[in-house]
Amino acid sequence: MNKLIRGAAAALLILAGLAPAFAQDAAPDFRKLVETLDSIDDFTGSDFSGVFTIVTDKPGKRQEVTQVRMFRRDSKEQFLMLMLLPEASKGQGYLKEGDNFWFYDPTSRKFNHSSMKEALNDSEARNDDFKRKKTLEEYDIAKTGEGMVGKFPVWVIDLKAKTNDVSYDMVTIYVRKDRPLVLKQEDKSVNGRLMRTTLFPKYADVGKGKFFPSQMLIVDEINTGEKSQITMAELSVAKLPDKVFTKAFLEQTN
Amino acid sequence: MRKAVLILIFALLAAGAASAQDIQIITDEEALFGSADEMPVEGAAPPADGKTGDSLFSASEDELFQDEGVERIQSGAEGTAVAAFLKTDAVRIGGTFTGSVDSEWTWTDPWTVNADPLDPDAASLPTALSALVFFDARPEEDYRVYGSAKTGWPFADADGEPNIRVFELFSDFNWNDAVFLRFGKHTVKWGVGYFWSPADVLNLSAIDVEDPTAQREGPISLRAHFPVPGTQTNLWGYLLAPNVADASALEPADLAAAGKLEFLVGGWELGMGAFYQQDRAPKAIMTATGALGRFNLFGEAVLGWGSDTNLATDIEESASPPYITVSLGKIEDEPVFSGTGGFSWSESDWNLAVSGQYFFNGESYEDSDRKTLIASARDIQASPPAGSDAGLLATSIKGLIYGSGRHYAGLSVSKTELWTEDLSVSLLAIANLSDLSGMVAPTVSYELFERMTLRAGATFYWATDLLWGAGDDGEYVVVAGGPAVTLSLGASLGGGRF
Repeated sequence: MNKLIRGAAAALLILAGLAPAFAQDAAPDFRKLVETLDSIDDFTGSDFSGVFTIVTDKPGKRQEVTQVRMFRRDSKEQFLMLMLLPEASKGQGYLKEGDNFWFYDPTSRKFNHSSMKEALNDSEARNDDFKRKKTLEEYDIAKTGEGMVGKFPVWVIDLKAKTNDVSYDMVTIYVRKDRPLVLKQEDKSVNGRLMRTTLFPKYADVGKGKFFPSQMLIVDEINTGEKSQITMAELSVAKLPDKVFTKAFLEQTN
Repeated sequence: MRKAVLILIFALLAAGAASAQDIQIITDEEALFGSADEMPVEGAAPPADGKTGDSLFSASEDELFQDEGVERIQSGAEGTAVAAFLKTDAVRIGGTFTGSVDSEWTWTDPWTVNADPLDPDAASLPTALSALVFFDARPEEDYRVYGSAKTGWPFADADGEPNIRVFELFSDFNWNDAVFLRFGKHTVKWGVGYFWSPADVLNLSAIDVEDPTAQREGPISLRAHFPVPGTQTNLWGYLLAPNVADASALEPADLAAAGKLEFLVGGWELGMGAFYQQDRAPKAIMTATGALGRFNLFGEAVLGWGSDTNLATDIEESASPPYITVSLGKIEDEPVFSGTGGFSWSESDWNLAVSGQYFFNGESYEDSDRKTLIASARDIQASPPAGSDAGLLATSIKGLIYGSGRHYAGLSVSKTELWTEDLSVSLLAIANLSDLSGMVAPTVSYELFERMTLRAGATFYWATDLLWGAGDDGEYVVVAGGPAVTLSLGASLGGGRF
């Protein structure tokens, strides 16, 4: 279950992008572009909800399907996640507000509170997974260029870590030229070895000029054959009732 | 007609097969993003042939967005995502099944030269076959009825009464989405302790230190929960019916009342509450959870006016079974403090989790009283009354010593995916620090395949007479019948949720 939670959390982080449309013909200010990509992970002013389905393939293993329902209110740093699948984890949930987390276990009907900075209690999901990214605090732009991802012209931005507190020392992102939408991300080790590739083939336009990825594919480049697909459904930026971000709601749903 | 039925059956089977089929994950970039040879999207460099994409403007808006990998989503009205989720047309039925078989061999005093490792003093075959079945009905967004029942083998007791009991039965409803009510029999969330929770005076059963996360049985109660709007402050109020065999004898004055306020102070969640019931010691409680670095911390403090725990005040021999007369009393008309504190720590990269807790049980014996009482009991055991049953005497002494300490500690360490993904090890250690005795239980388990896990374990009971240790009078060796060692081999079979 812990891995499922972590996978879901990572997915939520990446999938939560909001992207105002913009046109870009000439080479942009790449620092500004990266900052824009960071800022699009911000739902301030609107709520967000959706159902995430994560399908994971590992060689020699049965395919794993995880499904979570997620509610967000960034203006108050509130977040609620409910496990829907697999059946063994159904009903487990996380409530977060600011630095405080509550994990609800329907089996024991207990809330476990934590405010740990580094990791969520009893799970592999890290607190950082839920925080807004500030890429330029962790990475320098090492190189920029142009290229194509499928039929899409893209800006190619190589990032190099400037701290040791990041998962990957080098990251290459491929950003659509016509909108600040990442189509592909390559995570690399310190010696440049490709560790993981993430593809973002579909985005959702939820109105109000906001977009975010509705499909994501993650390929483990080290363990051949390991890959995941994350899809989103029932997306909404409609206002959520205040009760959603309470222990009462977490308990009511399970 | 017959043909139609066959077609229907075929269609159903086909549908079932499709739903059981794996989802194909496509990661080919051309398949996902199209080919560079295809019509480029806005912002692309002109194709090599120099033609411009006139067709771009002939496409419908939907096609255009589809081509660009962007789908339009219609957002619902306020709260629709929640309403659709909370209300269901069907009643959900589910549960858990537990199956396990263990073979256990116990040597009560294996550390002597006469002990025969091939001849255990006792052997047993603990077998678990049990299930919990629940229903969960949500006919309206704000109304839910939930019930669960438990059964297990043996399915009937010696009198032929079926081994089935209602574990939970309650309904959830609310007033204006502001006060959330639950009425019925349900587990109560009260304390924050892992192995021990002195603050939890509401649930009917204590925490099982060997299975601390198991759901506990709660009483019949009406609970009102008021989340203070705009905060994570919560106010909980309870009215509880005593757990009695004859419910018809209950009166309004028998109801217990409890309340608790939970609030955040920085990264700490504090709880303050009180419990009152006629003829029982009133209690004030405080709980705290938070973190320090990578350690999750928790603590409970309980201050009661007197205690409900029966303590032995004197032990004398008697001529009739059980050949010991124990005079009992309670602490009255004075404050009684109990408290606990603990931590949990985990490192997901190492698949390692550690939990530890210290417990001060102020409702138990003073160390000097406990020693005096045990000495009296031992004197009777050494010079038993004529015709007395030694076994019955020993059992009486075990009951006297069990849980008699004031200071306890527990530690749990577990590591999964040791060397291989399917191998796990764990260690559980519990100690009575008042008499320096305890138990240590290491376990190794291996998941043979899904829903079948093999395990091997040992339990060592120990005591010492060093420092302030009670030696042979230590709680854990007395309860185990000596410095016992139990070896076990077993398997979990087919357990899971459904």
